[in-house]
Amino acid sequence: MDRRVKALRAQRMKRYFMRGIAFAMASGVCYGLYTAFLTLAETQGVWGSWFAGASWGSGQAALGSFAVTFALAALAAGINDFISGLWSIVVCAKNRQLGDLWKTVRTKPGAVMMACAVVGGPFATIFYVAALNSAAAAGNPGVIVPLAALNCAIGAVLGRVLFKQSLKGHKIVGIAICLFAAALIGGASFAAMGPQAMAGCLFALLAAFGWGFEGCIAGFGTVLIDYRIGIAIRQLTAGILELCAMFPLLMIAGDEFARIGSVAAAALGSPALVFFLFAGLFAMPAFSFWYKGNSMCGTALGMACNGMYAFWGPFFIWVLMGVLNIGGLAASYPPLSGVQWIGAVIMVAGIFCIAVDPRTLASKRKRTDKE
Amino acid sequence: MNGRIPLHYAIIEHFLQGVEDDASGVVTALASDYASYKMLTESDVEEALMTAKENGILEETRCEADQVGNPVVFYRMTDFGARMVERYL
Repeated sequence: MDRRVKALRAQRMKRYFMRGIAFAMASGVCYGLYTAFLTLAETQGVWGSWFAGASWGSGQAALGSFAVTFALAALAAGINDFISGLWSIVVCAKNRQLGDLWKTVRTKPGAVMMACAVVGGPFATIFYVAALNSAAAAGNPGVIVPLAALNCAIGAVLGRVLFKQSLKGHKIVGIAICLFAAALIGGASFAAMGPQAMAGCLFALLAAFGWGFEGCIAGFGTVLIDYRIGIAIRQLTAGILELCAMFPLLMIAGDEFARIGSVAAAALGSPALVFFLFAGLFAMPAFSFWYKGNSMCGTALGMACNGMYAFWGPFFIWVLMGVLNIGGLAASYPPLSGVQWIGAVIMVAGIFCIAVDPRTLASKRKRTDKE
Repeated sequence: MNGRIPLHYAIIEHFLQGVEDDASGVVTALASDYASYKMLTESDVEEALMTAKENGILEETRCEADQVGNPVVFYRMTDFGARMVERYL
């Protein structure tokens, strides 16, 4: 093979690799935006009254605390995921993939994608929204975002247990760094915000567990299923389950059976729905680019780039709600404290350490030097 | 909607029985069955093949230059890929 062809081929491979990294990076940014819009939506209209524990609608008594923490989490996650599923269908339609979408649903990889949606959706998303709610009620929703980013570490451990993937020294070191950073961020919030924020942190860890599992399996699924089709399956499955099963069940568990209909109607009629439209719009690429990035440049590196949302989450919450003052609550959304930012930076460093083998980096550098 | 399997499955299954091919070969082979598909372009297929290679389903066999000197990469299915197809597709 002549040198020019060799160089062109190397160039093409590099372009492919960079495209994978760009997908994974963009997923982190979209993840931060989706988090921020979801947080914003839940301060608006009837959502604001529910979370404030106030009466709502035409003189309805406040919802019980269990229903507020869990049933509303399912409702918000369900609205968000279902809307993002609708956006995904629009994208599939634009690419003339609706036929393939319907056919894929009825195959084995489609069923695996749905199973991932159950773990990543009803399970993880509800805990994530419950975490956001608890931390937002404590006045600092950004604090749980880096904890949820631990899904990268948990994914590495699950990969080891489920698929016998390698868990080398640098990955264990990276996980330890992440846990240290989590403790640092948790400690900062513990002093500043009390037990409600700590509950948020616990829920965020459960969400991280679900997403670690999902990233492990669905990332591989994207080799067989186009990522635009994969995300439509994931978001519609998750949204429908959350809205039709989890929300009513959690309302019943919270002793609010009689008000399932009125709560759902109030949520759908609320002006906050506009913000859910944006949250759903960004949730679509947040997850589909994550799968796509993982499949293109390897799960480890993909998840590390996606893990940058440890920055983007608090950043966009602060930009949207603090700086731009959308929602009129700017005073409640100051920038994160210095310690929290340092913790987030250390966590990102830890995530990077999990993802990239220093020996591979060193040998690559050596190779480049020689050339 | 035609009665065929989804395009991405067809791209992978094209490599069953030890077939060796490049992206343009895949596009040509699938062109008649998937004529209405917007995603059946050489660059989209190339990306799907590279991703399958990245995940151990396909492997690269050789790389040649076409008439204008652009690289053309050929792939074939790995044993792991064949097992995955048997189990899931």
